[in-house]
Amino acid sequence: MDITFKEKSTWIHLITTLLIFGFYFTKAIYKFINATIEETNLIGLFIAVVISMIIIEVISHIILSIVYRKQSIKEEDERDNLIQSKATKTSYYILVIGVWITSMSILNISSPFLMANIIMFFFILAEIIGMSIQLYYYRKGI
Amino acid sequence: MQKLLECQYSYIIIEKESDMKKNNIHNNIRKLRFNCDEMTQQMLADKINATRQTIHHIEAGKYSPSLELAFRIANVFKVPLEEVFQYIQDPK
Repeated sequence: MDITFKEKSTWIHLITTLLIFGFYFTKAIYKFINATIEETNLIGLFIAVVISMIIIEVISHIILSIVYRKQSIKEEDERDNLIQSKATKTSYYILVIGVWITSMSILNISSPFLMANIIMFFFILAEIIGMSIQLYYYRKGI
Repeated sequence: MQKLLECQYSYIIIEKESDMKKNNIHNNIRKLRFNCDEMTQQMLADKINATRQTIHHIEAGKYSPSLELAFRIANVFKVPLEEVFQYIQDPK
Protein backbone atom coordinates (compact mmCIF):
# COMPACT_ATOMS: atom_id res chain seq x y z
CA MET A 1 0.00 0.00 0.00
CA ASP A 2 1.38 3.44 -0.90
CA ILE A 3 1.69 6.05 1.77
CA THR A 4 0.15 9.47 2.17
CA PHE A 5 2.02 12.71 1.50
CA LYS A 6 1.83 13.54 5.20
CA GLU A 7 3.50 10.25 6.13
CA LYS A 8 6.28 10.80 3.58
CA SER A 9 6.79 14.31 4.98
CA THR A 10 6.97 12.88 8.52
CA TRP A 11 9.59 10.32 7.45
CA ILE A 12 11.75 13.08 5.96
CA HIS A 13 11.38 15.21 9.07
CA LEU A 14 12.25 12.30 11.37
CA ILE A 15 15.33 11.22 9.42
CA THR A 16 16.59 14.80 9.07
CA THR A 17 16.09 15.49 12.79
CA LEU A 18 17.81 12.26 13.82
CA LEU A 19 20.82 12.88 11.59
CA ILE A 20 21.35 16.56 12.20
CA PHE A 21 20.54 16.77 15.90
CA GLY A 22 22.16 13.39 16.49
CA PHE A 23 25.36 14.91 15.14
CA TYR A 24 24.91 18.06 17.24
CA PHE A 25 24.26 16.30 20.54
CA THR A 26 27.06 13.80 19.94
CA LYS A 27 29.45 16.74 19.51
CA ALA A 28 27.95 18.58 22.51
CA ILE A 29 28.13 15.55 24.83
CA TYR A 30 31.74 14.92 23.74
CA LYS A 31 32.67 18.52 24.55
CA PHE A 32 30.88 18.47 27.93
CA ILE A 33 32.45 15.16 28.93
CA ASN A 34 35.92 16.31 27.98
CA ALA A 35 35.30 19.56 29.85
CA THR A 36 36.42 21.62 26.93
CA ILE A 37 33.33 23.77 26.88
CA GLU A 38 33.85 26.84 24.78
CA GLU A 39 30.40 28.20 24.52
CA THR A 40 31.08 30.18 21.39
CA ASN A 41 32.01 27.02 19.49
CA LEU A 42 28.76 25.28 20.42
CA ILE A 43 26.69 28.33 19.57
CA GLY A 44 28.29 28.38 16.15
CA LEU A 45 27.60 24.68 15.74
CA PHE A 46 23.99 25.16 16.86
CA ILE A 47 23.40 27.93 14.33
CA ALA A 48 24.95 25.80 11.60
CA VAL A 49 22.71 22.88 12.60
CA VAL A 50 19.54 24.99 12.50
CA ILE A 51 20.41 26.49 9.10
CA SER A 52 21.26 23.04 7.70
CA MET A 53 17.98 21.68 9.02
CA ILE A 54 15.99 24.46 7.37
CA ILE A 55 17.77 24.07 4.03
CA ILE A 56 17.44 20.27 3.94
CA GLU A 57 13.77 20.36 4.97
CA VAL A 58 12.86 23.02 2.41
CA ILE A 59 14.68 21.31 -0.46
CA SER A 60 13.39 17.84 0.38
CA HIS A 61 9.79 19.06 0.69
CA ILE A 62 10.03 20.95 -2.59
CA ILE A 63 11.25 17.77 -4.29
CA LEU A 64 8.53 15.76 -2.58
CA SER A 65 5.83 18.21 -3.69
CA ILE A 66 7.06 18.13 -7.29
CA VAL A 67 7.27 14.34 -7.45
CA TYR A 68 3.93 13.76 -5.67
CA ARG A 69 2.16 16.83 -6.96
CA LYS A 70 -1.36 15.41 -6.88
CA GLN A 71 -1.03 14.19 -3.30
CA SER A 72 0.56 17.41 -2.07
CA ILE A 73 -2.38 19.53 -3.25
CA LYS A 74 -4.84 17.63 -1.08
CA GLU A 75 -5.26 18.90 2.47
CA GLU A 76 -4.81 16.69 5.48
CA ASP A 77 -7.91 14.69 6.24
CA GLU A 78 -9.43 13.82 9.63
CA ARG A 79 -7.28 10.69 10.06
CA ASP A 80 -4.09 12.75 9.59
CA ASN A 81 -5.33 15.28 12.15
CA LEU A 82 -6.28 12.57 14.66
CA ILE A 83 -2.90 10.84 14.34
CA GLN A 84 -1.14 14.15 14.81
CA SER A 85 -3.24 14.97 17.90
CA LYS A 86 -2.47 11.63 19.54
CA ALA A 87 1.25 11.96 18.84
CA THR A 88 1.35 15.56 20.08
CA LYS A 89 -0.24 14.48 23.37
CA THR A 90 2.65 12.09 24.08
CA SER A 91 5.25 14.63 22.91
CA TYR A 92 3.80 17.15 25.33
CA TYR A 93 4.27 14.81 28.31
CA ILE A 94 7.90 14.17 27.37
CA LEU A 95 8.54 17.88 27.04
CA VAL A 96 6.95 18.54 30.44
CA ILE A 97 9.13 15.86 32.04
CA GLY A 98 12.17 17.42 30.39
CA VAL A 99 11.34 20.88 31.68
CA TRP A 100 10.82 19.49 35.19
CA ILE A 101 14.15 17.63 35.12
CA THR A 102 15.93 20.75 33.94
CA SER A 103 14.23 22.84 36.63
CA MET A 104 15.24 20.39 39.35
CA SER A 105 18.82 20.23 38.08
CA ILE A 106 19.17 23.98 38.48
CA LEU A 107 20.61 23.28 41.94
CA ASN A 108 23.54 21.35 40.45
CA ILE A 109 24.13 23.06 37.15
CA SER A 110 25.54 26.55 37.04
CA SER A 111 25.98 26.95 33.31
CA PRO A 112 22.87 28.41 31.61
CA PHE A 113 24.20 27.17 28.28
CA LEU A 114 24.22 23.59 29.57
CA MET A 115 20.68 23.98 30.85
CA ALA A 116 19.55 25.34 27.48
CA ASN A 117 21.06 22.29 25.79
CA ILE A 118 19.30 19.94 28.19
CA ILE A 119 15.93 21.59 27.49
CA MET A 120 16.62 21.44 23.77
CA PHE A 121 17.54 17.77 24.04
CA PHE A 122 14.17 16.99 25.58
CA PHE A 123 12.44 19.12 22.96
CA ILE A 124 14.11 17.18 20.15
CA LEU A 125 13.44 13.89 21.94
CA ALA A 126 9.75 14.84 22.22
CA GLU A 127 9.69 15.65 18.51
CA ILE A 128 11.34 12.35 17.57
CA ILE A 129 9.01 10.31 19.74
CA GLY A 130 5.99 12.24 18.44
CA MET A 131 6.97 11.57 14.84
CA SER A 132 7.65 7.91 15.58
CA ILE A 133 4.21 7.55 17.12
CA GLN A 134 2.66 9.18 14.05
CA LEU A 135 4.43 6.71 11.79
CA TYR A 136 3.34 3.81 13.99
CA TYR A 137 -0.29 4.86 13.73
CA TYR A 138 0.00 5.34 9.98
CA ARG A 139 1.23 1.76 9.61
CA LYS A 140 -0.83 -0.04 12.23
CA GLY A 141 -4.01 2.00 12.14
CA ILE A 142 -5.60 4.12 14.85
CA MET B 1 -19.73 -16.28 -16.95
CA GLN B 2 -20.24 -12.76 -15.63
CA LYS B 3 -22.59 -14.05 -12.93
CA LEU B 4 -20.02 -16.64 -11.94
CA LEU B 5 -17.36 -13.95 -11.65
CA GLU B 6 -19.72 -11.75 -9.62
CA CYS B 7 -20.52 -14.62 -7.28
CA GLN B 8 -16.83 -15.41 -6.87
CA TYR B 9 -16.05 -11.76 -6.22
CA SER B 10 -18.90 -11.49 -3.67
CA TYR B 11 -17.51 -14.56 -1.89
CA ILE B 12 -14.08 -12.93 -1.71
CA ILE B 13 -15.64 -9.70 -0.37
CA ILE B 14 -17.54 -11.59 2.35
CA GLU B 15 -14.39 -13.51 3.31
CA LYS B 16 -12.37 -10.29 3.44
CA GLU B 17 -15.07 -8.44 5.40
CA SER B 18 -15.10 -11.08 8.12
CA ASP B 19 -11.35 -10.62 8.50
CA MET B 20 -11.83 -6.90 8.69
CA LYS B 21 -13.87 -6.84 11.91
CA LYS B 22 -11.10 -5.57 14.12
CA ASN B 23 -13.48 -3.30 15.99
CA ASN B 24 -17.24 -3.40 16.63
CA ILE B 25 -18.10 -1.38 13.55
CA HIS B 26 -18.61 -3.36 10.38
CA ASN B 27 -18.88 -1.73 6.96
CA ASN B 28 -19.92 -2.65 3.44
CA ILE B 29 -17.97 0.00 1.62
CA ARG B 30 -16.08 -2.39 -0.61
CA LYS B 31 -19.28 -4.08 -1.75
CA LEU B 32 -21.00 -0.74 -2.32
CA ARG B 33 -18.05 0.50 -4.35
CA PHE B 34 -18.17 -2.58 -6.51
CA ASN B 35 -21.86 -2.14 -7.10
CA CYS B 36 -21.36 1.51 -7.95
CA ASP B 37 -19.69 0.95 -11.34
CA GLU B 38 -16.63 -0.54 -9.64
CA MET B 39 -15.68 2.74 -8.00
CA THR B 40 -12.06 2.79 -6.87
CA GLN B 41 -10.91 3.81 -3.41
CA GLN B 42 -9.29 6.91 -4.92
CA MET B 43 -12.55 7.95 -6.60
CA LEU B 44 -14.45 7.58 -3.33
CA ALA B 45 -11.73 9.47 -1.45
CA ASP B 46 -11.92 12.36 -3.93
CA LYS B 47 -15.70 12.57 -3.52
CA ILE B 48 -15.57 12.80 0.28
CA ASN B 49 -12.38 14.89 0.55
CA ALA B 50 -10.29 12.23 2.24
CA THR B 51 -7.16 10.31 1.28
CA ARG B 52 -7.19 6.91 -0.41
CA GLN B 53 -5.31 5.47 2.55
CA THR B 54 -8.10 6.60 4.90
CA ILE B 55 -10.66 4.72 2.78
CA HIS B 56 -8.40 1.66 2.83
CA HIS B 57 -8.12 1.81 6.63
CA ILE B 58 -11.88 2.28 7.04
CA GLU B 59 -12.57 -0.77 4.86
CA ALA B 60 -9.99 -2.79 6.77
CA GLY B 61 -11.59 -1.85 10.08
CA LYS B 62 -8.44 -0.11 11.25
CA TYR B 63 -10.08 3.30 11.48
CA SER B 64 -13.57 4.44 12.48
CA PRO B 65 -14.56 7.57 10.57
CA SER B 66 -16.22 10.57 12.20
CA LEU B 67 -19.98 10.95 11.92
CA GLU B 68 -19.63 13.58 9.24
CA LEU B 69 -17.34 11.43 7.12
CA ALA B 70 -19.64 8.44 7.56
CA PHE B 71 -22.60 10.48 6.33
CA ARG B 72 -20.59 11.73 3.36
CA ILE B 73 -19.75 8.15 2.40
CA ALA B 74 -23.42 7.16 2.67
CA ASN B 75 -24.41 10.16 0.52
CA VAL B 76 -21.99 9.10 -2.22
CA PHE B 77 -23.70 5.72 -2.49
CA LYS B 78 -27.15 7.30 -1.94
CA VAL B 79 -28.02 4.79 0.79
CA PRO B 80 -28.91 5.21 4.49
CA LEU B 81 -26.05 5.22 6.98
CA GLU B 82 -27.11 1.83 8.38
CA GLU B 83 -26.52 0.20 5.02
CA VAL B 84 -22.92 1.37 5.04
CA PHE B 85 -22.00 0.92 8.72
CA GLN B 86 -23.31 -1.55 11.28
CA TYR B 87 -22.50 -1.76 14.97
CA ILE B 88 -21.90 -5.30 16.13
CA GLN B 89 -22.25 -5.68 19.88
CA ASP B 90 -19.92 -8.00 21.78
CA PRO B 91 -21.76 -11.19 22.72
CA LYS B 92 -20.27 -10.94 26.27
